[in-house]
Amino acid sequence: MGRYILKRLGISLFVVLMVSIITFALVKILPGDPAVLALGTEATDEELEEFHAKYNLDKPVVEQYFLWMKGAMHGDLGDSIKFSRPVTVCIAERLPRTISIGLPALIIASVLGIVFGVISAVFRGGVVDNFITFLSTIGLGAPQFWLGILAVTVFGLRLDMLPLSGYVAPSEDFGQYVYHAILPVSILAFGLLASVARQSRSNMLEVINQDYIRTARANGLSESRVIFRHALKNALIPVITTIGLQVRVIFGGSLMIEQVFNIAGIGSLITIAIQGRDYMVIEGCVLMISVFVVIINLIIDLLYGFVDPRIRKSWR
Amino acid sequence: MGEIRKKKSTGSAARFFRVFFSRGIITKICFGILILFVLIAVFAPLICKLIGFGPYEQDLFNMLKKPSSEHLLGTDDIGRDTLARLVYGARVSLLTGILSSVWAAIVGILIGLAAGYFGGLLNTVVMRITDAFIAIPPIIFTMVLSSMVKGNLLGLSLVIGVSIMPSYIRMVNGLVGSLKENDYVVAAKLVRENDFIIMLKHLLPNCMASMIVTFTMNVGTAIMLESTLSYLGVGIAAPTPAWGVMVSEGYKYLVNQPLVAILPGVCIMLVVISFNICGDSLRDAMDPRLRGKL
Amino acid sequence: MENKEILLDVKNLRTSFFTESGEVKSVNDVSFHVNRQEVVAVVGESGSGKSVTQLSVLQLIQSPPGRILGGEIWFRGENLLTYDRKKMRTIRGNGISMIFQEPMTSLNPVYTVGSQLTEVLRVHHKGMSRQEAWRRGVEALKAVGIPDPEARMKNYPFEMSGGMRQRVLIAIAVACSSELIIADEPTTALDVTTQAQVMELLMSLVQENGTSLIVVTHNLGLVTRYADRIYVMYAGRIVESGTTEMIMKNPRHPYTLGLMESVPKLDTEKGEQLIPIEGAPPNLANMPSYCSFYPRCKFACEECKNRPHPELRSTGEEGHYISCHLDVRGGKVNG
Repeated sequence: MGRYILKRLGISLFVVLMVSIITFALVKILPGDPAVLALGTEATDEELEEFHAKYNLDKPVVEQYFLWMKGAMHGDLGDSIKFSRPVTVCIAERLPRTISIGLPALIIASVLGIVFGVISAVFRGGVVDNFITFLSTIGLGAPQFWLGILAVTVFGLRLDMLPLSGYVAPSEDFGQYVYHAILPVSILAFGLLASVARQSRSNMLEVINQDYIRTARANGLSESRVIFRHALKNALIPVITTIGLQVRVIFGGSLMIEQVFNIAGIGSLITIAIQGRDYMVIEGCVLMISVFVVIINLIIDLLYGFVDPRIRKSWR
Repeated sequence: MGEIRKKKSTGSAARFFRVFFSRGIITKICFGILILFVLIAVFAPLICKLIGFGPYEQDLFNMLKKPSSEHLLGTDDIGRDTLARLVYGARVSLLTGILSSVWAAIVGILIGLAAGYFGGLLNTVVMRITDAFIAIPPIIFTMVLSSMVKGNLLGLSLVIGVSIMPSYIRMVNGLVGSLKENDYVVAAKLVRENDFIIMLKHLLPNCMASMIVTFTMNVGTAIMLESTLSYLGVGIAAPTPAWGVMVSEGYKYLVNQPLVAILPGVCIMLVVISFNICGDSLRDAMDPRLRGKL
Repeated sequence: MENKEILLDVKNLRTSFFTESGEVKSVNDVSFHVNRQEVVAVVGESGSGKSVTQLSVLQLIQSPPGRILGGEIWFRGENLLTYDRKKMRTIRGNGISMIFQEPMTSLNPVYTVGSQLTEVLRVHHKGMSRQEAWRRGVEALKAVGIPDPEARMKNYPFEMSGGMRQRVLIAIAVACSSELIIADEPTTALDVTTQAQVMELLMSLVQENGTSLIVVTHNLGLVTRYADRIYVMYAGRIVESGTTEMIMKNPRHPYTLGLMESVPKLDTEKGEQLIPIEGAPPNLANMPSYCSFYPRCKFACEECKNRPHPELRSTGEEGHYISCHLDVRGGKVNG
């Protein structure tokens, strides 16, 4: 088991290394001199040189990468050009907001998605199944930004039930936080819920037709026992992967959600950084998100071993 | 013998269509929607001639009009005909979606095929790099790169193509990994057939079913990405009538004249859902064993 | 064989599947019975409805598309078809146990053997303690000849071979001391040496515990060694029934005859050929009004096509029934 974890850890480190190279290259191939963008076209050559020196832009690309990585390992992702502050500070400031929208969305989507998916499968072909399938089809096909602005218009402007935009930290005023977070969390959760429900439903349907389910029934176990003890565990093991993948979707979705609801989180930070060519911020955010995703995947891989004996035993 | 074979192949084609449409009316409708949108995209200039307005024609006396016999779906904030813009938007979305999926398929399949076939260290490295690509949210990835292409459709399709490429690499790689142990591949190797030939002649055709399904679903994904980027202002550049652009422009007038922002969203949704559902039905029709895997 | 008390009596059972291509009459007016401590074989090709018949007995037909349309299933003097779901569950695994064809996939992969074994025990014996269930489980594993049963209880199914898993499934059936075990192709998925072991095991358990056994198989060779009586099924109907001796020595239905000619025997002389039955079983969704074996029957005559499907009738020998218009003996039509 120790060997397996070590191996997975090694693979993850390699992936993180690749991510850092891709991220760095991604930003480097963008056209334009960040110094000109930051200081304006009237800037003197001296000012530009000073700027280049400050952000290591005068060094060869490979050296720039190593300097950046060296800093990253010490918790220093460089400074933001626009905010004139360390990138890590910018991220630390905004990450809690993105998480306080993303995490509830993930939890709600996972729980409801599994429940809906299982109900859908158990009552296959019924009204409830058709309704849930319809909803998840919409959830997967409707653009989030569009749903967002529709929701704002309907619930915010027309019905005047919920705030149009803005954000209140849960630590500040929990009631206000919930009040402001309902719409963004629901919109974000909708798409995730659709994927989880769809996956749970199809897994459950596959498992219900397995021989061991027939055996369980033939042995006189009650239908609830067959579904909840025998089918559910087998069906839900692959759903863990789906849920893990949603972490990436949440960060991606935060770009739209934070734009629509005017929340100053990581998503809007990335948007601002891309528009303003704030290179260090782009690099830092992408690296942070990717590393986060890799870590989640690693945890899921390890989690698999705990829920699936076939994998646990193969670790030895 | 020839007759028997012929019979069998028509039988499987018949089976294919039966299963493809067996999900009932829904698949038929979605297939119809796709055909409709393709026709609209192809005949966009003709349709615009029929309705009498081009997508760029401004009519400052008729701004934010409700649907009328003149402007069938109303006008936007600078008096452009919504229907004409929607029609051209279909062109933009379908073209970007299909092009990016084509780029991704060509490159992704070749990489996946080679890595899976040669295996070993090459395979490990390629797959880990793919993992790294997958770890970056596609919307962020494309957003960063799209600032390079400056609203150009072809460039945008390349950028989106790169971001959906990993799905092809993974799919082909997984298939080839299991296929290459098959006797006919081993036999081909034993008679020293060229690696390249083996890949193209023996492995590629066996990935066909999965490839077509992945392709169909990816067109939907690509269209969603394109419209999101266009909405955020980094995709197709503004005067061009992309659906995402239309939503973002119509947003401000959502209370007074909601159609301007609602209709393009409906179009995106219809097209994406139709691609998803046709992909699902294709998968069931081609190979039921793929269910749950693609 | 002295004890002729009837344990299971199935009368006029009809089960159909309602599919796109119409009603598939998988079980079409089937009657059979099993006495206490008797071993009965149901023989037929795949698709003959033999498995569906047995699944119907336990009401395990997947619905939709399947449905039991009519008939009676008398077990221990009560009609199972009048039972509600809850009462039916007390029969499954406790009164009648079923062993399936696929030992590799018939156990839940994510639970240990012990957990699945004790679960069934505790479901049927309310108030049985964990320790007691565990002890009984170990005993059951020992009874089916699994070495080191204590350790095996903690194993997962994927850590065992097919033969071993089939033993576990038998152990589950035995642990609850069911009065009837239905074994649906119990050895088909196993290799030949294991097949014999599993069959011997089943037979010895049946004899020890006084259990009745229904063996569903397509393998006539297996049947002759173990069964007391045989039912031959074709296209959802029983076409011949009788004691093993009667059917082996004096098969009277052309289909049974065909089955026997297609099975290799040890005393088959060199050069003597196995004769396959020509053609394929009929489409159960679209059955002819005449004898369903007519298209494949080598004795068929015009007369057969003009008459409705033959009813089961006595051959004159006591307990020997066939459904055939003709009088076929020793490969020839008599009279």
